[in-house]
Amino acid sequence: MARKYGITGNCVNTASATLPLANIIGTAAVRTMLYDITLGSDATPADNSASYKIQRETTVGTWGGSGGAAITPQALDPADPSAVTTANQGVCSAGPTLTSGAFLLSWAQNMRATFRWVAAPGSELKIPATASNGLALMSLVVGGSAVNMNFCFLIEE
Amino acid sequence: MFESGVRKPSGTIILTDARGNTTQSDTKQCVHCNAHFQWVKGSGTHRGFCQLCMGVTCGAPKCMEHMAFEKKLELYEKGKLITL
Repeated sequence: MARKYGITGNCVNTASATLPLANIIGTAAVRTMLYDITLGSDATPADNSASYKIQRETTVGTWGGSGGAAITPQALDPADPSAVTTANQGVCSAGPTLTSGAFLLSWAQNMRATFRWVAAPGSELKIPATASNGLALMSLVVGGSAVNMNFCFLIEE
Repeated sequence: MFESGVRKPSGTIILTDARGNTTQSDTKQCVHCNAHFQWVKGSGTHRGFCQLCMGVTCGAPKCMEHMAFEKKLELYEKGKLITL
């Protein structure tokens, strides 16, 4: 049975087509699968909106910008070993190599709302079992001001 | 908001607004590229159906030609496909 892990973090959703807000990086050992996304804001409510996309990437990028940090996926079952998948949040100082046009999920959201997407079993977003390949959370357009957004990814490996 | 229920959904989107009201809609998954998209009746968006995979496609030109996503993954992992 697949092992499940949670990845939580936050980042200011500054619009960029090259610098993600967060990413999930697989390994050559497993095909990591993303099956649940929750996104909401903890900032003071206002009518700020943004469009988000999940995009494929083939390198990790450098997460040395303000708020940039590595995230250790936490096992949902405490008996499971540590994840081989890694994740990052914050602002990239050097963006990863994004696969052009490989948008796997798109949505627009007002910061007052909370977005959740859940995949049906067997319909998860799959990361190939290739080193440094992964999925990036992109904020392509921001209406109003950029605000802090909190995310939670649930993955299987 | 809009009618978006589909048979055998590949995913579900749940939006909760500031008043706690929830809106739910379904997504379908492209059998050729793995992408999810909202299926909105009457939207006018052209999608496709692969009779070899027996599943819907997202409608992108690159997904018009049959190659199951699992096959693409295998080729990519072996280095025989440049991009997914």
